Amino acid sequence: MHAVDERLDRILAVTDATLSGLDTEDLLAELLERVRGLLAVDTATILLLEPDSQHLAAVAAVGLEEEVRQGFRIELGVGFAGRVARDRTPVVIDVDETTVVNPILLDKGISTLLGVPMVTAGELVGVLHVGSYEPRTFDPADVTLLQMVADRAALASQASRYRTERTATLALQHSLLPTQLPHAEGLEMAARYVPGHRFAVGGDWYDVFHLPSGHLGVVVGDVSGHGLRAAVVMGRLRSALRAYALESEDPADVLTRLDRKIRHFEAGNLATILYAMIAPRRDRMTVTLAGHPPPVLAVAEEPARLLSVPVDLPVGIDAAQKRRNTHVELGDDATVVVYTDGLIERRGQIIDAGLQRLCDAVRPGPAETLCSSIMARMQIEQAEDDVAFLCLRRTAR
Amino acid sequence: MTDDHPGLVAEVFTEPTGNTVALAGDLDLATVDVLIGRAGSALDQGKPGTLTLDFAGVRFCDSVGIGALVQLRQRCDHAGWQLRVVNMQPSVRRTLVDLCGLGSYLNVVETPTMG
Repeated sequence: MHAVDERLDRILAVTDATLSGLDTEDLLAELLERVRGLLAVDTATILLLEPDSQHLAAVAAVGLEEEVRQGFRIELGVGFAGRVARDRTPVVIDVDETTVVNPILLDKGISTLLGVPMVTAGELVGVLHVGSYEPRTFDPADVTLLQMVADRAALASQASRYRTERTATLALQHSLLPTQLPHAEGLEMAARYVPGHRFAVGGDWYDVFHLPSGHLGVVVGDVSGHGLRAAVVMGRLRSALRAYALESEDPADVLTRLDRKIRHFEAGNLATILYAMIAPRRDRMTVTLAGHPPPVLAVAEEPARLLSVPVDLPVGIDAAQKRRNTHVELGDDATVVVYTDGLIERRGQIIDAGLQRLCDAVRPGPAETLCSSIMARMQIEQAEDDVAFLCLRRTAR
Repeated sequence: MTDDHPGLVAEVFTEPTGNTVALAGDLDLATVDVLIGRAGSALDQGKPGTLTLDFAGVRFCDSVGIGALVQLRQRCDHAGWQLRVVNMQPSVRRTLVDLCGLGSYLNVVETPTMG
């Protein structure tokens, strides 16, 4: 009876609802402090997996604060923590040179270590281990308790990681998108960017820039994938495209160069891009499509329609394909909308439904008003993906 | 890597001239590892031949799925396999072939293949 009460107290100590009020860093520190007391151990450490490098890094510790301060990192599969992570199973060891590689553990004189994996939704998040200066054993109840703490810590760490990544991705996205579109005589422009749900944020962009010849460059693109990585690649592509646009006034050639650059420096990445150059007189547009949906064109008195532009491969594919330009006449009252697939793609619907809805939403009129009306009619709230689009309308010069 | 996901089911069939991966479900961020894992193991089985992706049950494919298909084509090239995609539903075909221009790169076969 007494043993049961004690076990219950221990469980309550690590599932305590007041812990939820703490931010992640404090929560981990508090969990480690409590588990050290409950298991009567001397040290408790959390290492989190860095997914890109496949290393475990110490992020929180009691009794072994040096690990965190010295930024201890270890490869998956190596040493004690690496083994717990690789095997995803609790491990108990007697500490010596054959079982650990971390000099701090040896120097501190730790005798016994118990480590458990931190896993959430089938994904390895990190490792939690406790150590004792005196040799000791851990019974199954100790292991179970430590695993409960690890589960709790895994959940909090993962949630915090997603929040951080989303915040960083959004900050990067916003820093890379034009805060204000350039003033271009004979054109009126407006644009929108709406980040995707949850993790599906990042990678879409639009860009507008003047070229020395008087042409206006217009870009809308979508890097395959999501998150910080897609946003970083997007930033590089955006800069590279601008640089090539200065060197070549042939849109297909610009994307051919960009394609080569991605395949060499950003291998493994893929992006769909629409690149158009609008003539200095604004009466003509040359457009090339790399795996990207075509622009919508509207003129007064006629329903808006998709421009018939042949589509070439997305950039980043290892194939020597000749890219094509298409020349489009823009009447005095022309309105053009370019967009990423997030605007038109809805799960469970053929994409033509989205394209038709977009054409129905495009009406001649002020660009800013058109953006708002497209936002209202395209069921943006149902979009899982990033949405980016740009409306351009010819005006009197 | 997990090879199973409620959103996408993949089955591998071994044939004399290559292997077929039959897919059913949605191909997106959540399920893309299923395709990569199963198709990757199909490439490791037997002598290089034709890797056929049977898309009859695929209802949706987003940009992450497209990226995985391109990656798969590149892996086939390296390993000496021929990739082809059969039985694509019209809605998926519209996105991959008409809007992304990937029809010939992914060797999307026009009509269902029999026998």
